[in-house]
Amino acid sequence: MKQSSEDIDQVVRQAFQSLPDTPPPGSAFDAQRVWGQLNRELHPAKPARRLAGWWWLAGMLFLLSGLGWYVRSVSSGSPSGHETVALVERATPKQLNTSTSRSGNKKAKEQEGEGNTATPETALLKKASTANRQPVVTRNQSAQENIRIPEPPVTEIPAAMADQEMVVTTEVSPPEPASVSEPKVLAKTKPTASKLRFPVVHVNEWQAEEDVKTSLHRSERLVRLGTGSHSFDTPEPPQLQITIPQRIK
Amino acid sequence: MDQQLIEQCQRGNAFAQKRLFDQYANRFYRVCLRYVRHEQEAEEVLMNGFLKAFRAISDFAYRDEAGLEAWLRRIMVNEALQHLRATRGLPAMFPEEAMAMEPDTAPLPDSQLNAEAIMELVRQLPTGYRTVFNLYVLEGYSHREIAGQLNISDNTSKSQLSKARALLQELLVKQEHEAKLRRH
Repeated sequence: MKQSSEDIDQVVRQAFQSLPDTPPPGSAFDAQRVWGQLNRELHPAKPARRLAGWWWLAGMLFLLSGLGWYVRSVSSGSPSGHETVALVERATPKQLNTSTSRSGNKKAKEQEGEGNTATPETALLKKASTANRQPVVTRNQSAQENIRIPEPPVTEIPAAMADQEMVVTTEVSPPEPASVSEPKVLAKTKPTASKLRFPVVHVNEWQAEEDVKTSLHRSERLVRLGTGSHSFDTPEPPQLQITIPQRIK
Repeated sequence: MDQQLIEQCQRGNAFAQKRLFDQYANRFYRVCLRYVRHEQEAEEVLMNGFLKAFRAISDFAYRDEAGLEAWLRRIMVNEALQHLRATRGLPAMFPEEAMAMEPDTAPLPDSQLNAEAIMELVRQLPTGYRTVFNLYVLEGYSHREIAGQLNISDNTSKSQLSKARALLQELLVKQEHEAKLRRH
């Protein structure tokens, strides 16, 4: 009996020792799949997830702040541009002079020292060329450049026309005191606009134009009396003073 | 080679852990499959066994490959027994039942069955018989150790082993007979 028991034990041991190190035939065992599960248990990816979460949060904050800055800048527009336009309209040469006298800008002084007799054209060209480099132009510098009003060129009248009565009208575009404006604004204005024009008109034609103008604006011939400060409030009724002549005795 | 591998595993190197797993996964999958009936359970036991091994490997002192394999095998077997206890796979075993059943005295036929077929026959044994048979015959446990592992008496372990042998012999004879019939 014991012999039989040992025999069967031996048969089974030999059978199991001869088995290959492979899953049994027909088995769906996949060692890599099991390793994948085991690896997740051994090395949980929590720290990596946390790190990724922090990166994500930082990225979102950066994106939101950038978006907020962009929206703010777009909604406010270019406040400096509007401001300069307003200054252009209000500024008078006197104010500009005072502002330039106060300025301690070295650049302006240097340009002045170089003998830069800048005409509006040159000033505009300069501004246009430096617009990219200097997005913000200081008020003093631009004022100094543009305050210089060019002298109107002298037109020589031919000798043949000297005996005739001529009226020369000059249409000089006013030198823009918009020197304080931003370079972009100045760059948009055409330099040709500041050219001096000298239309030569015969006196008769000029007279005809003047007649037309006067006919258009008849109010020019009217004369206003008084200071103009008359109030339209209900005037007080004039106090009539009746003086009764005394009888001459 | 294995010593360096074990040292790297002790440092928690995932690459070394994978190499060790690849080296022993299939072999211990077969061990797990001897104790549990379904392949899914065997995978679960294998994974939990390796998980415990990698967590306890820092306390392991490497001597040779045989010692490493024996250490891993013990972990796998313990995990399989724990799985059987947790799933109530081990039925209540009583010595009185087994005493009546003695193995056949007839000699074993010249087994021409291959190893896979014999393994399949062992897997067909009832869980109690199979567990004791595996522990005694294939793992080399004594009846006292088996009794301690399964919370049974020594006599119960002996009787379960006797019943397992008798049933396996019967199955072997039957299988051999069927194989002969197929050949003819």
